[in-house]
Formats: sequence, structure tokens, C-alpha cells
Amino acid sequence: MKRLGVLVLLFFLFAFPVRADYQKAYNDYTYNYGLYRQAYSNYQVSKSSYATYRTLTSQNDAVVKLRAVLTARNQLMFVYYDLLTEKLNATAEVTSEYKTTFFNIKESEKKWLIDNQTRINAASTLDDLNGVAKEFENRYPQMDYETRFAIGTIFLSRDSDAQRSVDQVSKNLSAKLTDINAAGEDASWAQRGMVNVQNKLDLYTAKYAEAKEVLNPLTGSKLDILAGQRKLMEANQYLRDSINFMLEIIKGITG
Amino acid sequence: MNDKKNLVIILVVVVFILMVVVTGVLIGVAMILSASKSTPAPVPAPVVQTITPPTAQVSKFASDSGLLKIRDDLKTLQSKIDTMDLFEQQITPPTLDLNISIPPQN
Repeated sequence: MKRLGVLVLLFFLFAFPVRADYQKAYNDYTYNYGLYRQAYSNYQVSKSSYATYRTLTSQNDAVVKLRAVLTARNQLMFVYYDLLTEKLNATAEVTSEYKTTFFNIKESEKKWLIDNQTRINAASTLDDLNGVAKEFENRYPQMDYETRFAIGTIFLSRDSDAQRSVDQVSKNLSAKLTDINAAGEDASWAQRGMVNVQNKLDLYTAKYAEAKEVLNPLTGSKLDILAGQRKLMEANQYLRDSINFMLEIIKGITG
Repeated sequence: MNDKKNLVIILVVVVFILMVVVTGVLIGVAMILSASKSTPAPVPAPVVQTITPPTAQVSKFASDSGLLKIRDDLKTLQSKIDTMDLFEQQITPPTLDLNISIPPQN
């Protein structure tokens, strides 16, 4: 009983925090997203007002609102990296190597964002603020690629883990059919059925490779998550088909 | 004379009955033939390829624990794949505005 209590305590100590950390990161992210949208709306009003009135007051307000929206945009990316880190940590199928790689990427980007924020805080004219805003915009394609790559890695890792499991079960079933044959029962019909299963698994592998090219491209091009998701959905259909074939074979034996 | 007259009457009646019977038989045959012609030829059922054993005899592996475990593993995997979230809306990249600037008015 005491041992069970210790196990339950360990579960809450180690399993629950992962979920809690992710939820906290998600709450931070949605909160900061709201702040960014509000800051962007204020910036648009101020920009329009300054363009219309061209007064010193409207110019000062434009500086304040421009600084606010650039700060909110930086902060949003900051917490988005945290969100993805927690999502990766909460996804058991992602390798620890990639988790470490992304952690290092996040630290590097956070350092860049902090440096950019220092320049935003120091800028006191519209020209200077426009300059640091441009720095972010030049940097963003790299951030966009890194974060989309991380999302793709989450999808691919989960999928390939499922495929490995299906592959293992198909090997177990093939071995069992060999046993059945060895015991003198005719299982040749089932072994022919396993050829269909293997065909489906081969089709899965080909489709998964296509999804990987889209979700984890080797070059830093624009990464189309939606296209990759569609390919993974198609790939998963082949996994489902192979499972259905195997269940049919087993039903043929067990009745 | 009277006998001859009766014989003729009997012959006429017999011939009439025979004609009625033959006509009935002919009508019946014609109806059967037309009915068989209007029935459409049976369409063969589509052949569905399934992986089924050639005979219905029960295998001695029907309750094999290893085989049943494989079946359970497959059902678990089936459920896992069906519930896999491939969209994860919560981690979708934020929509950022990348042309933020306010040109100074001279």
C-alpha cells in the first residue's frame, strides 16, 4: 500500500508537471496574442491619426504606439518558442536529441529577441523604430522556418511511432502464421493476405517520405504545414488499411 | 335414327370440350413462355476480394493467447491512429504583421 502511495506521488511529481507546463505556456501565449492584436489595433489608429494631423502630439503618440506593437510582437514570439518547447516536451514520440536541438534554437532566438527589444527600448524616433522593426522582419523567415519545422517534427514523430508499432505487430502476426503452418494447419491463405498488408505498409512508407519532405525539408524554404498534414492523413489511411487486413486474417483463424 | 342423332350430339360435345381444353393449354403455355422471357437475367454479385480461409473449420489456434494479444494490439493501434490529432490548432504559428512602420511626416 505504501509502495502504491509512492508510485502515485511519483506520477503526480513527474507526469502532471509536463501537462501543467504546457497549459501554462499555452495560457501565456493566448494572453500575449491578445495583447499583440490590441497593440496592433492601437498602432493602426495612431498611424492614421499621425498621417492626418501631423502634429507633435500625434507624432509622440505614434512613437509610443509603434514601440508598443513592436514590443508585443517580440513578446509573442518569445512565448511562442516556450509553447513549442513545452509541446515538444509533452510529446513522448519526439526524440530527446531533437528536443535538445530545439531548446538551443529557442535560446538563441530568445537572445536575439532580447537584443532587438533593447534596441526598441533605446529608439526614440520613428526612423529608429522603423529600423529595428525591419530587423525583426528580416529575421522572421528564419524563425518561421524553425517553428514550422518543430511542428512538423511533432506530427512526423507521432506518426512514425505508430507505423513502427504496426510494423512490429505485422511481424508478430507473420511469425504466428509460420507457427500455425508448422503445426500442420494450412495458413497459406493468411500468408498471402500478409502480402497485401506489406503492400499497404510500403505505400505508407512512400507517402510518409513525401510528408517528411514537406514538413522537415532539408533546405530553409517556406514550410507548408497544411500540405504536410494532408500527406500524413493519406499515409495514415494506408496504416488503417493494413490493420484492417490483419484483423481480417485473425478473424479468419479465430472465427 | 334416334341413336344416330344422339351419337352426333355426343361427338359435337366431345369435340367442343377438346377444343376448350386445347385452347386452355395453349393459353397456359403462352403465358408461361412470356413470363419467363420478361424476367431479367440474374446479375452476378460483385466479387469482393477478402482474406478468408478456404474452409469454415475451426482452427486449433482460435483461442491462442499470442494471436488474441496481436488482435488486441491491433485494435489499440487502430484507436490510436483514429484519435491522432494531425492539426493541433493550439500550436499553429501566430499570424504576425510584417510591415509595421510609421514613416515620419516632414
